Amino acid sequence: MKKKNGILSTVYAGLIFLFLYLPIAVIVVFSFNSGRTTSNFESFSFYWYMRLFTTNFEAQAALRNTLILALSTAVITVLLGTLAAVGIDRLRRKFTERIALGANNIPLMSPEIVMGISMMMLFIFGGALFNQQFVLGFSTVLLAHITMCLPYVILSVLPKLRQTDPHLAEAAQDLGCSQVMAFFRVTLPSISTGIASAFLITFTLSLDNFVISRFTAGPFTTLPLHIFGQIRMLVRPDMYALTTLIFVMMFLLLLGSNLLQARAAKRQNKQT
Amino acid sequence: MNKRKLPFGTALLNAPFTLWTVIFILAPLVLVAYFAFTGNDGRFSLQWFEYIFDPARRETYLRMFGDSLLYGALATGISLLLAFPLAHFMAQSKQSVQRVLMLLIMVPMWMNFLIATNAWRYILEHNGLINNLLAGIGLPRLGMINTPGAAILGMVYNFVPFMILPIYTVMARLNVQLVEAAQDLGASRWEVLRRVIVPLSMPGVMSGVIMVFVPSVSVFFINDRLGGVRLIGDVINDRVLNETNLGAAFSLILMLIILVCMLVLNRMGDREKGAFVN
Amino acid sequence: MKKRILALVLGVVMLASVAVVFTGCGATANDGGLSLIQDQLLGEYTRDLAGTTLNVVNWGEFIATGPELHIVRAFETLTGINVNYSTFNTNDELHTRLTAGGESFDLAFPSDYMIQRLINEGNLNRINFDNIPNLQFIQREVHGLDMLDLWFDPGGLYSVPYVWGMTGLIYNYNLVQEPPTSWTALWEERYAGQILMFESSRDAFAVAKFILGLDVNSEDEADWHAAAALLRDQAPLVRQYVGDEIYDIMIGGNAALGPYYVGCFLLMRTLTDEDLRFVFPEEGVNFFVDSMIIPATSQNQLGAEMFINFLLEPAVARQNAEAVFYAFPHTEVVDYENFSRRGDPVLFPTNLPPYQRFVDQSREFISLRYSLWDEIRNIR
Repeated sequence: MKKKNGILSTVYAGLIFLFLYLPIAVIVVFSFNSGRTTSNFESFSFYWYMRLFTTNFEAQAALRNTLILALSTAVITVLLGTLAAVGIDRLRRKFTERIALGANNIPLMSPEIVMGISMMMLFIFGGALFNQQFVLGFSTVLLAHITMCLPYVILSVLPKLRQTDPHLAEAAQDLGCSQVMAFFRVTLPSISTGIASAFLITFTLSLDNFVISRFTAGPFTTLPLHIFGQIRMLVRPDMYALTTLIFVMMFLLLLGSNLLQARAAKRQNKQT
Repeated sequence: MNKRKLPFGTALLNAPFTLWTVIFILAPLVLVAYFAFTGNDGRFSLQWFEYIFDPARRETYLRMFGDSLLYGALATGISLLLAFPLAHFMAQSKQSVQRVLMLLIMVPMWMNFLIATNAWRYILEHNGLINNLLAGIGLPRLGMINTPGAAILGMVYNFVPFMILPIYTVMARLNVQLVEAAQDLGASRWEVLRRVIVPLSMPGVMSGVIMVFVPSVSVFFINDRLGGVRLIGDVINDRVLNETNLGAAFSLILMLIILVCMLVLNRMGDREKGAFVN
Repeated sequence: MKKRILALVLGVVMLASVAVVFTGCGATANDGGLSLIQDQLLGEYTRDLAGTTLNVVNWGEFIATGPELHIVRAFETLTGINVNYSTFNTNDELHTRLTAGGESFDLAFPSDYMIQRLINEGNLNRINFDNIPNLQFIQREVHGLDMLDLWFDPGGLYSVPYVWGMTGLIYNYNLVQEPPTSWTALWEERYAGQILMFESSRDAFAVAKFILGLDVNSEDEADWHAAAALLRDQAPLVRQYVGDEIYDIMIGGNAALGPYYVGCFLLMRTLTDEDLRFVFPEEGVNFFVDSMIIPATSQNQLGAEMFINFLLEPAVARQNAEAVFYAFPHTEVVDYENFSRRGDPVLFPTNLPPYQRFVDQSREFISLRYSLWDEIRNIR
């Protein structure tokens, strides 16, 4: 068994979580403000939530756009990234592997603002090559988000692949599995935790991205872009209400998936 | 090694990633470099670098790059100091608690940074949350907003999850038997930490440092709104819309600086690893 | 293991679909308040363009969005046109988006000098005023300017004025020792640490130039260096260089004084118990106009003209003027007896100090301004 945490370290962890959650508490409280500001609490009210669900069409559309984008990004990036990780894992020459990993690191090392601008240039340039005007929109912001998230997927899947015993897949092939079948039956299950966390991190990064979207999304308004437009005049509690709702939704979602995970873990424990 | 693999299998598997890298990662970089070295007349030119390093401006921009590095390093260092013990704490917790804590780390990442910055402003303001609490119990108000400390706080707040997660991931995998073996051999808690846990966590620390340092060095908005500190990211953000090529030149320099920092870090990381193997 | 991922993916899919259904319902049920004003509309709004898309880009919070009237939704309901509405934050950002070629826009709302630049670059379409009969409601004379023949668009061929406004000094009556009348109050030692200043370099330099009695559009390097020297002196006294955060700072009584735009002050005043006041400093102020324009990338010019005409409907403009705290050069707003800010001395001042207007400047001087600003902002 592992050692237990002492009181001191528990207090320390508590303080860090207080730091992380203090602004969230502020946001939740002010989302119920009846006034128009986020610094002067007048009285408790659901007014901004009502506005959000009735006449705030822009916020609704932005929320919808963001969820669609984050979901598409997560699915495509995880597929592409897993494939890439498997490919990199099979590279036998140190030199080619280094190049592949180096290339993978470029987006991690690029400031977001540089990535956003350079991708905008690329899309417009590429559009001109194919005689296409006005290319910016859902597809370009999707491509940009996939590019931004790809390294994270590879970095979470590749270590899991490295831990996997290659002989297992070979054994499966010896027993008559095709190469593809061996991958799905043997390799995939052993890297699935890496894939799951890659999915989550990709979804998170895309959901919250502002800088890259700003340059590549064109008329496709995501939630962070909408929020940026809104706060030019004054941050109103409706943006806080929206943030609170996202928290609640994601919290429930994660809690659900966690319960499932816990149950699966228990079952596994019983089996062994 | 593996006879049954098709000879072109690996190449085929790597094709999509290679293609993606060339089109969406390398090509934009080439474009940035191209713009940085293209003058107003559309020909090759060093005019933007001459502009930045013009004697009249050199001092300002060198100091700004220096400040960005300093604030980036500080934010990264503080994030590491905060994250390492927390990751250790998480890794020591029960399996079920670990999952919940993981979740609690990720939740703040869904908050838009504009909203988070606005909330922090309210917390730190002269008539804000903390100062009102202080005044309520008869203590003097503190000047927290518009200080370098507030800028760093904002950066740490936004980026610290990227430090916690990789360190925690590595620590959670850390072999318990190794720790126990060290203890059995008479190592004190401190020695176990120094000789076993820290060296073994290095890969996580390295990726954490990269993931915090890069956005910190290029940060904009957060630092200015909370701390009144203007950094190179703000300059790029201001300029790139007006004079794209100048913005590209600034970006290129910033990326070079980051690259050099990463190379230095890598060297240090290698030495750390080497120390452990010996 | 696989099940976990499946559960996760399914969960997210469910979440997304719930959101889509959720928002989808609300979208069809509401006409944006059109029924309340429909019988007051003067123009003819055919449904010939139903199903087409209209790409509109405007400043954030610069159009009425309810609860009484949601202009975009009402227009969509009326004409069947799908309005794709997005926002921008600075004129420079808008310029990039209009000219980079990545997007097509049918209607945008930039400021005066930017419109001049867009016209000079050939990036605007001429407007067909036959489609905008409500142009008759534009207030012709504002502070000696003909609103249909403005300095940035002679003859008014490319633009229709949306709002106008001025800069000025906002102060908290209880935090200043005496009500300021001059921009130099922003340089007074006694307010050190209580002073806010424009974060936008264009506006900040204008303030310094008013004090020095210089032309805000000067193309003489010495003028810019003189203004920069003044701003450098001010830097140690400044609490913060502000954009939109000025709201929360002034509302909360966190600073004594700062320069900003008149409409923002009027909104601010409604949000707080602090005694906030506004003054037009004696040295002069900036007078600006934000107008509606049709970019050259437009693919739905008829729809854009229809929307401009709709915005100029008296019933629409009145609601819009209540929501947007700036002055609409619209006779049916200015003279409307129930307009809540009718004759407001801040919004419609009777004796205005001398004012200056921005014009499009050469890149050389924009670049000079930015580099001087970088230097000033680097002072500690």
